[in-house]
Amino acid sequence: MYKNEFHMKKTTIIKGSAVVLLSLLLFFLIYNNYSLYDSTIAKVTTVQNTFLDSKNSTKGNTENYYKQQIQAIVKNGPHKGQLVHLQNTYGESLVYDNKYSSGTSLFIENLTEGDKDLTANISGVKRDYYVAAVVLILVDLLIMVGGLQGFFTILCLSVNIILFYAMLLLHYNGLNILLLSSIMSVLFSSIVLFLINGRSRTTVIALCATLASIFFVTALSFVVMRFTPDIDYEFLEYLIHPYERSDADMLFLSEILMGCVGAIIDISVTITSCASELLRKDPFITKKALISSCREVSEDITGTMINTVFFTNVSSCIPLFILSIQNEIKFMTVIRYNVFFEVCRFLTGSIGIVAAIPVSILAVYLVYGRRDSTC
Amino acid sequence: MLIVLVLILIVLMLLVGGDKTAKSLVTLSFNCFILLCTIFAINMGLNPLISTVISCVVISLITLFYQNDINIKTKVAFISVLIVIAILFLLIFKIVSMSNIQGFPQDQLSIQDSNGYSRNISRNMMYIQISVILMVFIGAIIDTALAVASALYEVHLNNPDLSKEKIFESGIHIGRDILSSTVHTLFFIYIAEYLTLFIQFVDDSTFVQMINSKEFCQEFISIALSGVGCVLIIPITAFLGSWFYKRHKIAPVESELNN
Repeated sequence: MYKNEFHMKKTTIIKGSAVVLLSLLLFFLIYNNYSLYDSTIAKVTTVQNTFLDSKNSTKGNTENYYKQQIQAIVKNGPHKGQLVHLQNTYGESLVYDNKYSSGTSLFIENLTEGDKDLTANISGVKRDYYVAAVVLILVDLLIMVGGLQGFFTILCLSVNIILFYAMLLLHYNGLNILLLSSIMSVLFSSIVLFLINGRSRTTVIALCATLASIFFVTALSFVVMRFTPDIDYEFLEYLIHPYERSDADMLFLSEILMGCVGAIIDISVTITSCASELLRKDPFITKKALISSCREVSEDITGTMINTVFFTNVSSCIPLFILSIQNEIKFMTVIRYNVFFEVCRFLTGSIGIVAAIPVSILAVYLVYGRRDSTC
Repeated sequence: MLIVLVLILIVLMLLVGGDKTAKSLVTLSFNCFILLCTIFAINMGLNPLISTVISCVVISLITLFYQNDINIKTKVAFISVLIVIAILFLLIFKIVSMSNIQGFPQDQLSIQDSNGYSRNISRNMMYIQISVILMVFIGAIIDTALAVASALYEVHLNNPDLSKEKIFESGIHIGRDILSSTVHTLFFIYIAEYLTLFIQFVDDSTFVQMINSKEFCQEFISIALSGVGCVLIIPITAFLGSWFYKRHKIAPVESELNN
């Protein structure tokens, strides 16, 4: 038996190192995928920073500006391997500017041949390998820690991403976004539930509870939206201008709908599986005992869940807050306009979490209650 | 609209939940307050990294110890959270400083020089971006750590004779069950937050443009790293749990005393 265990450990180590090696190889390929790009890419070799000047802001801050003289090597295209000179200026705060250091890969344009050397303008940073790096780290960890379940999670995520892309394409071809995201939320939750939890009656109940809760949250948001002052969509990030109010409303409702799917699935799975377990152990459990046990379980998870939703939604606004307050925009103004959407999504997400509890208990009770009365 | 939603949330929480949910309402307001404090601290010119790490610690202290009492479970969860923050801090620092994802994309905001606003704020946006990423995942890792730690404790209570290795193993198994739902929760929040961004990308850019753009990378990297944190905390909590629960033979008595 000891030998067997040792053998198990050995295979885990082999598997783990295979996964790591494979992802290192993949990362290396993506890191060097210069030839796949049409636009010219150069890799920074040396950087010289010189102080340019300092400017004062309204609040009395002084900000130092620096100029960067960059030497880089062209990595693709006809000038491959040649040295190119680039320039960049940045302010210390790096609000809109970038500060480059050696090793960074940059997209360059307007490549012109001077007397001795090439010069060009920087048009962007090549970031694809960072995205690849974090994805690979996540995938590796999921496989190593999660095993088969982790693999299913990855599979599930990939299917969902493909579906999401299909949804975007359909929207591009003119379909209503709210309709699409309603259909998608049904698909998403069924995929997640059936792939992760397998096919069973509990899963079906969880699915029903999830969909009912999502519908409840969306309907509630719609009603609240109707009866409160119009939302100022000027501040919804990345909204394509011009837009119509009804379209923007629908878009925002879809965001609300999507945002609560994950959390609601989580809650309803926990509660339905707990309730079914209780009912299986004691089919004649009283209604009161069932409800109180479910409430007990739900109380343990709602608090931290709501915290998760809070931080995930709201933290990304920190830079915006700082920039705004430094520009003497009032704090409440930021909340009312810029951060409005994030806070709103957090609130609806939390309402979804809380609402999913009674809905799931009700769903379990309805299904099992009816079965009992028929037989 | 916000006020109405807040009211609905509070009423629902009080209706559905019991004492503990009411407690979590208090925790939530505390956390909200701490987030605001962090923003003001950074705004006043304190080092963003230091203030964020401090507020992360305070947040985990409140969420774990106020909401769930001080016992061995929450202690294990707290230490694991600290370890994960320490490990990921280095990774985050490296990735953020290399990939230039700080600040804002060139023309996303209305706070521009041309509108009379200043970009000279003398606050380092790179550090602030690191703070953002830390803040994004703090909630999620506390959630996972607590779930693993308390489930593991139940296992230990019910089978006190289990060896350290066996407890560690069952910790990993418990973690696997939570894993997918946590990752999906994050995934859907991300999709919702950037629905407009993705619609814009489908409208007028290519995949290559998207994957190299600041907008996309900023958010994608923060969400993916928070997923990494959630996965990483499972073995760490399992290990610490197996270590501490075994050492504290009198653990059950201790937790009862604290309750």
